[in-house]
Amino acid sequence: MNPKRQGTQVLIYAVLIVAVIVVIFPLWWTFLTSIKMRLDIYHDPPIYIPHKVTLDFWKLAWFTRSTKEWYRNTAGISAISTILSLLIGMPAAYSLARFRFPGRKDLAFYILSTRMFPPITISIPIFQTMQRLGFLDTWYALIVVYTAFNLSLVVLVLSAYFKEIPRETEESALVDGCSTLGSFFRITLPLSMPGIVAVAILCIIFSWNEFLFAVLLTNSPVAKTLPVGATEFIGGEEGVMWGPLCFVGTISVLPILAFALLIQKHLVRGLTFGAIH
Amino acid sequence: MFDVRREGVEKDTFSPACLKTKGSFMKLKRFYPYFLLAPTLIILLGVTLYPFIYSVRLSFFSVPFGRIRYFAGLENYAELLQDPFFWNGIKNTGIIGGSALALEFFIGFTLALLLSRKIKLRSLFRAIFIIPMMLIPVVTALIWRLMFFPGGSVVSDAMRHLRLVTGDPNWIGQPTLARLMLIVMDVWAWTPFVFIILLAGLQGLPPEPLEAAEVDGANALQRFVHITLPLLKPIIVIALLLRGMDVIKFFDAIYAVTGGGPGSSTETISFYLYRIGFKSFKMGYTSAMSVIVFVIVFVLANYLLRKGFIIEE
Amino acid sequence: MKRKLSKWGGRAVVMALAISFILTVASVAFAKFPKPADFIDAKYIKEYAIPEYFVPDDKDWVRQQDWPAIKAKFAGTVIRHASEGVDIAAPLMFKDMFEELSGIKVEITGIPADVFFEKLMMEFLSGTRRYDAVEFYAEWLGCYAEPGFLYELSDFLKKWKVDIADFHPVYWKSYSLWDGKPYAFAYDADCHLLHWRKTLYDKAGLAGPPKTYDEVLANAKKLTMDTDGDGKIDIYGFGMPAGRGMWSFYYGQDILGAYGATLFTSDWRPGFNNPEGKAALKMFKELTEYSPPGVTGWNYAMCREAWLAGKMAQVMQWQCVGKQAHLAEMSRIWAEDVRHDVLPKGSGPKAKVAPALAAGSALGVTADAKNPEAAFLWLSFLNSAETQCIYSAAGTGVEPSHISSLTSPAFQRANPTVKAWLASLPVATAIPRIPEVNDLQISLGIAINEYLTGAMSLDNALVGAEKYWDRLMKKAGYYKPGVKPAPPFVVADW
Repeated sequence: MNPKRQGTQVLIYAVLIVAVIVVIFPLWWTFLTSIKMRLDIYHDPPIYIPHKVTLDFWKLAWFTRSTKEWYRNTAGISAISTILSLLIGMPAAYSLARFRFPGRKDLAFYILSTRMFPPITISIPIFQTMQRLGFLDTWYALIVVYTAFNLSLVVLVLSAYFKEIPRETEESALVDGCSTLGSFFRITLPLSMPGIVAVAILCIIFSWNEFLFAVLLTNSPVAKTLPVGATEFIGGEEGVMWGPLCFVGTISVLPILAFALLIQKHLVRGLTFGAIH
Repeated sequence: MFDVRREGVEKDTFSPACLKTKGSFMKLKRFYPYFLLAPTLIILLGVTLYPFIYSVRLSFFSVPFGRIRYFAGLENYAELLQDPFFWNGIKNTGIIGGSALALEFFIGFTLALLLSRKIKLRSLFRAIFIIPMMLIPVVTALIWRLMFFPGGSVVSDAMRHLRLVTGDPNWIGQPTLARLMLIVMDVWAWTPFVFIILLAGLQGLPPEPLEAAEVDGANALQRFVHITLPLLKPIIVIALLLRGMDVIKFFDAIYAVTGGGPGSSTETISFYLYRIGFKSFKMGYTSAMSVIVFVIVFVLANYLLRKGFIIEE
Repeated sequence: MKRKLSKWGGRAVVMALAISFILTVASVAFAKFPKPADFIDAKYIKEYAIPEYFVPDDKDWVRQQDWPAIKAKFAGTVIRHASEGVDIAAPLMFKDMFEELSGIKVEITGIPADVFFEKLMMEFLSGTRRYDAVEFYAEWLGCYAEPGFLYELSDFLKKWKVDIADFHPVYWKSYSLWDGKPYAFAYDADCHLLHWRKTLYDKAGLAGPPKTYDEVLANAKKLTMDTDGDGKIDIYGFGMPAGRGMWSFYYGQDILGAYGATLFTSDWRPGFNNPEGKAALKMFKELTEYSPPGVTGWNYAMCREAWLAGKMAQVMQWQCVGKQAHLAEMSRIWAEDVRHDVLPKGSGPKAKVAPALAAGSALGVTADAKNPEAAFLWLSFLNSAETQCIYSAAGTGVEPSHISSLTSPAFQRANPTVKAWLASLPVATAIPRIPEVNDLQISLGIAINEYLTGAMSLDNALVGAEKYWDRLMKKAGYYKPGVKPAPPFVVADW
């Protein structure tokens, strides 16, 4: 390797390592705070290596509160709403990307505009609607709301990814008539896997961590999600119960992380274009 | 959707010829795109249309707490335009949100580019850089508060070791530092959003134009500016729009850490909305404010899409 | 034959009566009443010499009830209780015992503090009838009582012979009564105190407790020091939550009262934009200069953490952080001689001692509750003198309001702040319980914080807040003729 190239490589690795440290440290700090003794948490200078740790707060959060139920609810609601938004949104994204039809631009802008209104204001009419439908404190309320919120993300992002794939690549599979469905499954879908994976991860994260509607539309451990449950450790005499709060924060990340690790190999280009020609 | 003229690459939509039909049965095929869009539109309209209309209607009423509401016409809007907190909120949203967005873009793009190259442990890096988004926002906010809190601040400690500061910066008590603190929080948490979208975009690029340009003798920078960037434009625009609209809703960190202070220097429009709507329960006023925010975002997004990029029918 | 039957029949009846009498007595005798030993760590029972019960039998509502009769009537009823986030610990502690005694099952829901107000409002306004019992901040009593969301309790209180005289009159007037009628129980009774580290005072040769804010400030100056010689100040003389909004308001209220200003004059005009108010807030600002950096952004949690980490020599805050200062597992100053006193008075002709009765929470029954009487029994249980002592001493953060609880010698041993707390109550001040409280508190709090952080001058801040209050009260109709005058600032005069 020539020296210039080597220099660039070293620089790149240096930047990446710094980025990793900046990214990981707060997460490490969260985990550490969950096992620290109370006195060590707010100490000046900060305690980086506590001499004594405890699992008492873990036990408090896991056994005396409804953490297991929150976990179950969050996972279920996020998974279902993500799958629904992908299934419903993908055809819409394809339509916007590939076909020219009157109103295309306006419909796309309408879909974008559903994200423009501040959520606090519409939370009250949505609360009332859910109450009339009897969906309050059930999974249905959040699934409906999250699917709708994620749809705009899915449609807009995926249509941009679909557009990246040149038409000739698709048309090469359309030798015998407009079997657009076939070309979709055989060509477009595999080639846009990185985009689909990215969007799936984003949808899961948004549904998992959403707070406002989760707190307004749920009440009991039947439907309460992790972000809402975590706030049961904030307030009151202790101000912030750091131990249990950080425990909930740490375990909340794990399933999403596992999911991302599992599918992230699809984040790279799957098939090469050359193989198709 | 939003087409971009690209060099050397044909516009990639199917011409309506594909949809021209033979015979009356096939006439239905013209509505094919609408069928694909229908479920999405039905759900979106169902969930958002009534709340939107309800809120717009409510903005013309005055809803004093605990008493009967009455029709107030444009009174809420008039009051808003003279409300110093409203303009302060817009200003702070612009400063904090705008800076955060710019940084997220710059850092996210850089990381995406770096990780598109052949690097060892690429997949590990990729997974790590997505993680900050995954943490529950209120936990993120409180942990950063813990790390910034003067007197025991990890951040100040690190900065002292790097000789960037001496003494104990008053992150919570000084307006500039408080805003900086919030920007750091937002950038840490949301750069992964930009990163993952751009990374997927870079991965989805067809390699032929790049290879052809390399053969023609273009260097890395030229390839980047003339081929990569234009091809990525739809994705960049979308990432900017989505992240921009979300940054306006920036709330958790402000609630958990500064409460809008010191003074009112970190009160963004979303926090002011919360304060008026949820604490004072003035729903008419809140609705009017939301309508104005919506209009501003609508106009900005429209402008960005039309002027910045060539939209074709 | 008949005679034999009637003889055996008679004996059988007597036997049956005897057996049921014995069983009833036995069930009452073996019924589990809340006892300190069941909930409080043994080491604290020993350290504070806590006897079998904190309060005598005749003062504890729980021990006086006929629980078997209650159980017979209410068994199987389910009630739902909405609790503010972390305060959920106390009801959780007792609900099983309550179910055993009364047969009533309690489902407890925790609602996060930051959305508590609006979530309850939405439930009430939408008529979801979701909750039978609700907890809320005492200041919101008007917000819920005026629109008729709470159940008026006088009939239940009479029927179940609740000893109203045992409620501390100041809490009874400000947490329970609205428009002269009882709508809630005091649940977490709060009070602001001055906590100070006598150990540091002694080292600096100062005599405490300080009786005026001038003394507090003078002492704070002397107590701000660099203890380990590294050029960095390690201990500051003072501290208090002075963050934007509610926090600046709560502690502003203390100082305003101490200098003779008020929140409202009797005709509902703002009473803080005057020389007394200005002097008070000037003192507030001077105190922040001898407080740790960031104090103008402190909420309750941040101030508490700094205090327990030993960052300041004196703190003005709720009673609980005073009590916590003595606990080794959460305080670095637990070994010091920490004292608690009534807040000082200001200076000037109208100066007086006037601590603020800020925050605190109350328990109410909802007007559309499905089982109001069962909910009332639950709240009465939770609010009884003994139960209150227990959950306070067990560290749930919820504090008692009964006179018998606060004067119980064992409780006073367990909680060293009680004497100062009791002395503060007769002169404590409170904001009137009107529906506009949130808006009033936050607007004044923001104005005070703008002044404290130097964003606004004192005059501008006060004028701005005064104008806002005037407009708000006018729009709400308080300046029309025939409106009842504002209650006095001091609660004892209500």
